Amino acid sequence: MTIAAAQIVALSPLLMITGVGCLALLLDTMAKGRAPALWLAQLGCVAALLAVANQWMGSGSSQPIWSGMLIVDRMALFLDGVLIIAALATLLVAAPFMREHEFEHGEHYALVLFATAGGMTVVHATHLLSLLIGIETMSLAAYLLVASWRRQPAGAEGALKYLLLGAFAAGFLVYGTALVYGTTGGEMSYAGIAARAARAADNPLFIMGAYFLLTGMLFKIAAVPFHMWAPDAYEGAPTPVTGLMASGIKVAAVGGLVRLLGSAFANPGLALGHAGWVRVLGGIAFATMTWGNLAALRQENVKRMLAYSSIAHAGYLMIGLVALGQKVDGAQPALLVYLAAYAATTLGVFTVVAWVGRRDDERLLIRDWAGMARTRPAVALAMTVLLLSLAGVPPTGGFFGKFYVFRAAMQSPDLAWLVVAAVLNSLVSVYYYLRIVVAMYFRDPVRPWQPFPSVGMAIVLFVTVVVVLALGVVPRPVVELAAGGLVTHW
Amino acid sequence: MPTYAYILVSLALFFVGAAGVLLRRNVLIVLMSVEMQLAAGTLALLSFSRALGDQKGHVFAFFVMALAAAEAAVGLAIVVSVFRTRRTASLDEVNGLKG
Amino acid sequence: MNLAAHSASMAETIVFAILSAGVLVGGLLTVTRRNPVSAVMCLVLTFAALAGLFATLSAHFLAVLQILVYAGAVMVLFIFVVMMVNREESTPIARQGLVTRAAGVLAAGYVFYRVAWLVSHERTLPLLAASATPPVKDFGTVSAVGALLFADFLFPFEAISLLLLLAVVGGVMLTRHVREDHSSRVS
Repeated sequence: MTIAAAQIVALSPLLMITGVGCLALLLDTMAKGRAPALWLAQLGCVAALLAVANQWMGSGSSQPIWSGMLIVDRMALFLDGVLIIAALATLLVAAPFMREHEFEHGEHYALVLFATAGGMTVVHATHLLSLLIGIETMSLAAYLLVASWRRQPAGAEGALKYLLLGAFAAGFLVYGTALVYGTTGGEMSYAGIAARAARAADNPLFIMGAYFLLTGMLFKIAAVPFHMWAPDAYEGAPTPVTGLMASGIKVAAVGGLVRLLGSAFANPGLALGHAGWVRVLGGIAFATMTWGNLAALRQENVKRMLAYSSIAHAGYLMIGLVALGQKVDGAQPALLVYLAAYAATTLGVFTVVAWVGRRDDERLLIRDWAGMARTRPAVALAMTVLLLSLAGVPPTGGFFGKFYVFRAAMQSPDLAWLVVAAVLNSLVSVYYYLRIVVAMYFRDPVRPWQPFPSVGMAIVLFVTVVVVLALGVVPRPVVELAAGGLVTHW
Repeated sequence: MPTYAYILVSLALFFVGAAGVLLRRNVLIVLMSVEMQLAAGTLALLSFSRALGDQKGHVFAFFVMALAAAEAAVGLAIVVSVFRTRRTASLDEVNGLKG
Repeated sequence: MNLAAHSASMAETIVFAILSAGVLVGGLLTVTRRNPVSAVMCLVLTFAALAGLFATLSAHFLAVLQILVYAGAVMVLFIFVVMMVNREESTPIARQGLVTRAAGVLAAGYVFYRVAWLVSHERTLPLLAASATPPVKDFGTVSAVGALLFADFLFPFEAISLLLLLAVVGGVMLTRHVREDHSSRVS
């Protein structure tokens, strides 16, 4: 096979991120201090974003490239953009955080980039092998990042649980691929599976393979009952890494699911039968958002509470996936808008959490946040906006994300119960998000506030709040962009 | 031997591995059970590959092997990291994070 | 001629039976040993028997890789770590959340039973009944796998190198010595 130059150019964002990651590793060994590696990584992210924009201009038709392994279409490029921005934000927040807590090391930056590269592979994947490799690259980098703060034993423990369950999920992904490969007569690409799915859907082994694959993917987005690793991993990880996990990694996994369910397993016999994946996912979505919300109500630790809230949001996202399975027209753009809003909000929230802790005073309990509004009113206001966005209160991006997804789901009468449950859950969630707001504004400070000054964190916080508010006040342009250019014609 | 015999063996191995992951307390044995599950998947892949006369299954199995090795390496590194601070290899004791 | 074919397939069946017994017994022993060192040894047995099964499936390249990579490199890595972390357990079964996990295992057992029944029931399907090596030239050899690897599977081939790099970086990052000085040198 000759490699056409066009195929390499089409992958330029991915290649850039990977290449810059490797160079950052190299630079870290050669240069004095960590700054050169960090700057290289950040510049690499910016360059990759430019490459994404360049690809966007030229992406008219979208055919699978690299022998059917990957595809470069607008949805993949949109999610690439989200992932790269998440990586850039994490780098900006991680550097001062690590300096403050004195555990800085250059591999951290490279690992963030490698995780992003894995995520980008996942959203471009049109073959079970590229999906597996992307998911595992992203996951391995994540396990390492969670364990990277050596002096915190909680990190290594969280990483251990994450790895054990993640590897368990990988086992399901591999066995599922084997079954699908066998029962479709040797197909592993999504197009091939879709072509054979009509005939193979009668075969129970094919259905079992499909469910194994689904199980493996659901582990990665921490859906109930596969969520056991998430609270410990989110709590034990250094806060910027938690931000990356809750935003970038979740976005990539959902993107992978969108493509997998939308093309390979879109066959009605598989999706909508008596125990089709639409129904099963509906049940899991309900369990996920309900359980996530109920568990978050009881939390005192901010990071752990946000971990459960992230699980609940995975439930809301799954409603979008279910709507996609029902072939609702607006489901895919709605899901993408929600993903973008959710990622921005999550990054902002975890930036604030990273900011408030100092070397010996992590301030991870809600009551530690008392009185922030008096000494740091801007940060408190920003946090309030972001929390309202997570809760889905207008006029924030989070509200419109949920609104569009729920509206799309309502177009299918089977899903009405799910939307009602989701709205109720959102109302319940307002309580625990507001606990933080109440603590910030209406309680007296326990100890004096001294968040450390950091330009990087300030930039990230400012940008995420602006994006969240912009999506909340003028969502139209993004929605039109999503509906027009991003809908993939399966 | 017909393919279904190999599939039965691979299924049995997969579920034995799953039981190991769910029930055992020693982290290393859990890791070994996961490796068993991946190997079971490889066996299934190769059986179907022979049944279909298709080489792609072999290539996929090749990648699974590389993946399993990398995962084992990272897993063992994390186990060593945990052991250095907690001096235990038991999942029950690794629970500083309840909340 | 019929006798030769018959005794050939008898031999094949016996070999399969021995190897499968090795795999399954090894697997069961691995998850039930208290001593991690014994468990590692049983897993090596499992992988060796599995390599034999691969060879009977005409997957010669993968059988050799299984021995070299799995039973060789990965298990040696396990042995090193087991030696470092060796603690025999007083009670091998985890206590926490035992009910949920036991339920999970029972559910898994039920699923296995149903699927195994299904596979045996359907064993006359062409997919599940195939037993001869297909008449494709060089099936399962290095050249056949390599031809696909460097043609259609070039992207995963390059991508997996990133995964392996991650493993190396992670191994070093997590296990190197942490210096306690207050410069922001190492973690």
